[in-house]
Amino acid sequence: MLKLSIRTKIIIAFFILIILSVSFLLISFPSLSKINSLSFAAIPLSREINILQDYDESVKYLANKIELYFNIRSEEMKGEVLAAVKQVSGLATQHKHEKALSSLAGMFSVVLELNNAVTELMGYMDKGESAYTINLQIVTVNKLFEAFDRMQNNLQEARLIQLQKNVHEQTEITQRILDRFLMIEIWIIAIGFLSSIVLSRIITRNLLKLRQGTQEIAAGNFSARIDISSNDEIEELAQSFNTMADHLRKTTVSKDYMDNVIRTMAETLIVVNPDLTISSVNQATCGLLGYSEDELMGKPVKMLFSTEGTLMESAEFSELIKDAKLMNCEINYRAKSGRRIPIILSTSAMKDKDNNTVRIICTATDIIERKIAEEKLKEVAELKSKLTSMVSHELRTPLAAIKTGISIVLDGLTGGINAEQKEVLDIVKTNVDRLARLINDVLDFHKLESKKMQLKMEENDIVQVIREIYDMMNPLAEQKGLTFTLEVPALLPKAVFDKDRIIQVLSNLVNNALKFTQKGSITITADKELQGIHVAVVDTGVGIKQEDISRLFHSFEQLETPDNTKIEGTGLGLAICNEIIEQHGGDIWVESEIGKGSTFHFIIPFKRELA
Amino acid sequence: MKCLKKILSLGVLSILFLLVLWSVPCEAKNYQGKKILYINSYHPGYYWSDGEQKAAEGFLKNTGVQLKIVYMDTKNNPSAEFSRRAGLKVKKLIQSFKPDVVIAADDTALRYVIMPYYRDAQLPVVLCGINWDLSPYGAPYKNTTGIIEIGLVGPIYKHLRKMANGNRVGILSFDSFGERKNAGYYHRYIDGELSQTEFVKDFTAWKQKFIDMQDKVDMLIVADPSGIRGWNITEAEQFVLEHIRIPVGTETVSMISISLVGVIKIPEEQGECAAAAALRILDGEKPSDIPIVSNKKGNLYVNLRIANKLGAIFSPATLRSAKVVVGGGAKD
Repeated sequence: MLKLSIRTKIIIAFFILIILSVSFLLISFPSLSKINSLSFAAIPLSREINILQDYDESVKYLANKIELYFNIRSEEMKGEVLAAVKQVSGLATQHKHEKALSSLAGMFSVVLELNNAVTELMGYMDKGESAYTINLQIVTVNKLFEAFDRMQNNLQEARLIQLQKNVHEQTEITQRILDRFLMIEIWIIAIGFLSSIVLSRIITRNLLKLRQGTQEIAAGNFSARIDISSNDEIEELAQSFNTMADHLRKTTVSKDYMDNVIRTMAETLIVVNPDLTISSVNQATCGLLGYSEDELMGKPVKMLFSTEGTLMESAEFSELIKDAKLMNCEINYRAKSGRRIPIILSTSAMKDKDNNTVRIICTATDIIERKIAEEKLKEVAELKSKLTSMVSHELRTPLAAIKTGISIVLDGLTGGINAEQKEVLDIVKTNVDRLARLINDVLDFHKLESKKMQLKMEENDIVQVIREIYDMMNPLAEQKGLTFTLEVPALLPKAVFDKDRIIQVLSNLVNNALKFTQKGSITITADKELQGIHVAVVDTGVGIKQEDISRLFHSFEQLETPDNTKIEGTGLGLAICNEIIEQHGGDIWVESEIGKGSTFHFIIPFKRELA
Repeated sequence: MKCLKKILSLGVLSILFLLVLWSVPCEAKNYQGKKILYINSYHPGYYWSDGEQKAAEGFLKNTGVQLKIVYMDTKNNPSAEFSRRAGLKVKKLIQSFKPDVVIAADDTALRYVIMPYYRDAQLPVVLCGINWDLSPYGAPYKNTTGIIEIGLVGPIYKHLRKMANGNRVGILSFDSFGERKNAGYYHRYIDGELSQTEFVKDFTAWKQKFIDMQDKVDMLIVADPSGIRGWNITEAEQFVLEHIRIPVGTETVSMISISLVGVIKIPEEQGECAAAAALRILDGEKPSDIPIVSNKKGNLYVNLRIANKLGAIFSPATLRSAKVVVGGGAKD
């Protein structure tokens, strides 16, 4: 069987209808030609009828004039009679020689004869012929009038009959054409009807298969396939459908997987409609909050959250959800039981192609364990702080007594001591000083870290501070054979800072420079910058490894020198410097190169607004 | 413009033709089961009553009416006794035939059948050809209608007036009861001045009056010469041709040869009119609701020989409608 596309089938049906229509025209053409020839034949007939009517009117006009003349007998009427005669006569003479009107020649002759008789009658009247002669002539004229009437009537009737026959014939032909047209119409309707039935059955059958396939797909049977081999657009559609089913089968497996992932994910997930009602939730959400899925569907999402204990207002929170602008926001879930569960909430918007939000995805992680751990850590830190404070204080008191005692002995207030004893006591005193510094550093760091240290913020001159440091540290540098220089402008703007703490920072940095510089120089520079006073301590020491720089300002980090020599110290110095500068609102950093030295920078803002 | 006229004419003719083709023929009314009795006062062969009767028969043909003719034969038997017996026979026939309508043609049928037996009766009667006036019979009755027969002296006067010099009219007639009665009605129908009426008993008197009256009137109407002693038509024609000076008219066929103009009644008009009235009665109309009419139609005759003598020239229309008499007796 020849397989054709629907379009081809429709085109063929259309052509069949056109062929039928053309056939109708071809069949009807001879009849139409006949109608045409009959119409043309009717034209001379119509003209003859018109001429006959014209003559009838003219002759009646003449008869009327004659009658008037014989009633009135005036010269004027006589003139009118003769004029009428002349008119009719001229017309008849003209028409008599016209070939197209040869069939009316008899009538023209009668008309001319009538005119002659009338003329003769008028002549009799002029001559005063006898009444008998005149009456007889009138009778003759009357007979000619009657002859004209008969002839005119006969001719007109004959033409009318001929015309009627012509019209009748045209009517019959038209009827035949109409019959044929009706027949062709019936055929066209029949063929059209049958074609539509056949086409619709073919299309419907295949469409039913398509519908069955879609129903199976809808029912979840993704292995359903449609077998249509009509070699037309529907077959192409079925193939596309099968391809779509293949893709669906694959993508639908991934969807199941994703569903499983979402269903089993530990994080809670809430899908929210643009009107902030709940569209769907995962199992984790239901499990955490104690609701069933049905209880939450369509409810306002706001019922699941509590901003209590956060810095956020409820209205603000709703707006942020609506705009999907929440990112790692700490907030509380409100469980069905009323319990608040701390979470970290993030939102994202699902958009359509016009960039309209169609869903808002809310994912949240339960951080209750973390919160508990943080609380514990906080408690531990506080405990540590208390312990550190207590230990430091408790150590400082006996240490001060030990130091005083040693000084008394060394000063000989308790009697003389020999050189060996003095040497031992000097060692003890040095270690006690070291222990005292360690305790002071620990206490300072603890105060700074726990924000318990009160800074004495005053307007000070950094140049003066630097000069004090120089004066204090220069002897040590000279003792070590190092050059200690200042590159400081004579005048710098004053800044607001705690002078003692900045001295502490600078002495720490200079001490470190002295410690790690065996030869060369140490320089303190200061300059005015946009954000504040920039101070740097430059040395030509051993330098710091790049990997250690990041740990440099951490507490209790004791770095090794490049030659792996362990350095004495608490490891708190730079951490304390960092804390002091940060609490001034400034910044501290280091630049260093192994073997070439290090430069420690810090910036003190001109003015620090204390909270 | 001519072409447009032709197209219009062709169109109009085509439409007329189609109208003719498509027109549904009117169905004639059917009077099946209805009966009409036609009473002929005279006998078959009498031209006047034959004319009336044949016209009525023709009119009623194909209507479904059952038409029965009965003759009273009173022309051949003019006695009153015969007429009474004939009337009685017709009455018996009516009783047996039981007609729906009776047509009583001419005065005898009215006088001897309808007046004595069916005056104001239930049976509808159409009177036909009753001379001049119904009042001598006490008619019209409640059950009668019909057509009365009058002489067409009115049209005669009008034709003569065209040729005459004045409007004075003279009547020349046979001296009998019937003619005197007729003459008594003329004045009703002549618009002119009926200034002189003469009744004669013989031909000599007639000729004398004919000459005398032409001096006193402008036109002359001559009546039926039947009964005039010594009447000779050939001599009368010759006499008139020699002595005629004014237009002469007649309503009698036998006098056309001596008259300029004759207007002769048509019996068929009476018969058709009576038959039409009978059908109206069968359609349900009451006879008293159908008006009584008189005859109006007549055949016009002109005598060219007399016209020539008078120098009278007729209009073409008159000659066209007239039966032309060149001379002698009447002919078409």
